[in-house]
Amino acid sequence: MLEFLSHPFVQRAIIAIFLTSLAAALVGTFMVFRGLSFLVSGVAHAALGGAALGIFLETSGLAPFIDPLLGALLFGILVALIAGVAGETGISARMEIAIGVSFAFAMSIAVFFMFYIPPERVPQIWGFLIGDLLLLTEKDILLLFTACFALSIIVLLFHREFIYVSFDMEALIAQGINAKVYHYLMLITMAIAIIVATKAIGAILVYAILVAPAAVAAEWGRSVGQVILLVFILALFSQVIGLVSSFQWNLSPSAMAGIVAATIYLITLAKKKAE
Amino acid sequence: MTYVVEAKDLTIAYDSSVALKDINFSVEHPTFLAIIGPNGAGKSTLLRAMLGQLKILRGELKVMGIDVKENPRAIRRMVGYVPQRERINFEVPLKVKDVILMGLLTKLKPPRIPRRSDLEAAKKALEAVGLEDLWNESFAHLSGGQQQRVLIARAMVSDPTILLLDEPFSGVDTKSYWEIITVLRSLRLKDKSIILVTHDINPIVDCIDKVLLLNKRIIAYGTPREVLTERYLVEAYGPSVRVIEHKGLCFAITGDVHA
Repeated sequence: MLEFLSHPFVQRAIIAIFLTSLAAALVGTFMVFRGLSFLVSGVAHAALGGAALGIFLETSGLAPFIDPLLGALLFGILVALIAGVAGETGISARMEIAIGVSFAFAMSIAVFFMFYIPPERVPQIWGFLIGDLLLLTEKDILLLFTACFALSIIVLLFHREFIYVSFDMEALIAQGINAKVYHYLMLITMAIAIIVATKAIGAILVYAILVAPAAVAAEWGRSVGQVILLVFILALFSQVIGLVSSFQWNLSPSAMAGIVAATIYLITLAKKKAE
Repeated sequence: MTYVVEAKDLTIAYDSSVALKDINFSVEHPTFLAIIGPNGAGKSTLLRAMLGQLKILRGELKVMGIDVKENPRAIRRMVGYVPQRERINFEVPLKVKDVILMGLLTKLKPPRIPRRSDLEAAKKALEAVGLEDLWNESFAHLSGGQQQRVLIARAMVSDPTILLLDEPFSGVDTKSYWEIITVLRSLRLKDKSIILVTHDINPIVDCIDKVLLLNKRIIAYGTPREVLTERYLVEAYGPSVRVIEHKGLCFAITGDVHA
């Protein structure tokens, strides 16, 4: 029954599931704490615009050194920075508006450039939206591993700053800490992780895995550590169910993982309401 | 003689609108000063200016003899700050101990791992506000008054000389009111200076030394008896304000709060 585990593409999918669950735990937790779940979606979709621009610059000869991932990273970081400027005082509502506008802008850019790039490159852009756990290359895995490793180190070093910025930015500033630096470090680090995860598994699954488990864990977790651990377990569980069901019943692993994560969230919501 | 605050011709503006104009006052250390005035009077602005967070357009502001423009870092080391509770994000599941340790760990370098001495100091600070049993409790699940006392413990954990509080009585029940006042009184007795912004001066009027009545400029400054008069309150809050008198002092009734 476990024969399918011997296939290299399945092994890569399992590694990707583990790494994206780690990204979900570290990014999703802080995004939900700051009320910025929408940033995950904004940055992930900015990847489409960035990738389209990257392909256009590459194929038109204007800037051949730019590739789709670089374009996606630039756009993702730009969205995070715009949101960051709007929310320097810690008010999330302003950031949500800025993300919404950037989101629309990035998607418009994607559609705009699709008409000017070779048709055979267009699926590459859609790959950022839909992705496929079972089509990952070794390069994708290496990139994902590097991003998750860097993310883990940064969160390990600055987790208290990220918590304090989320909890009480005003007091942090009053204590002489340059809160803006940590505010931007947090947003940019998270944006890079989101883009790399988007390249690997697609924007839709990134949104499902980074937001739904964190929203569930924030309801049940009694400490920041507990929330992070719970997000990791839920993201891992959703994706493993997605992978297993794809082999058992020939379903799309990404779609199933997204459905499982969203269902867990809906059950939590109903349970909390019933209480 | 040391002044905890000295303002000379102080003017502060946000973009093009003036928040405080030609502020002149000084208050000796230690003191218990209440800053009152209507909404938008510049009360919180003055607190933030003392912390060196705002650009001073004109004039001078010194805290414990140090110019806020020249050395805000030195001032922040001497000050414990309690922000408005409404600005805190309760979605972050911090325990009481985490909140108090924040007051100490921000003084360390990342990754800011608490030492045994930090834990002991945090426990002592919690004890000082009478909440030692809540060490491991979730901060978000405490009552408004308990949360306020935990925030005071966080501000005092590094033993600052001055405590600045922005609306500490907002959203707390009457019992908590008195518990917060007891904590503030004990700090004043330990020669700390307490400066608070409040809408409701009535319960603390017996323990404060000075009152600063603002409405973008100083309307009155002095002892409660000198400042809390009908004339000054009407000047600050406008002619429609209802003023009541109690034990020779006047209080303005503005909506559901007193000043």
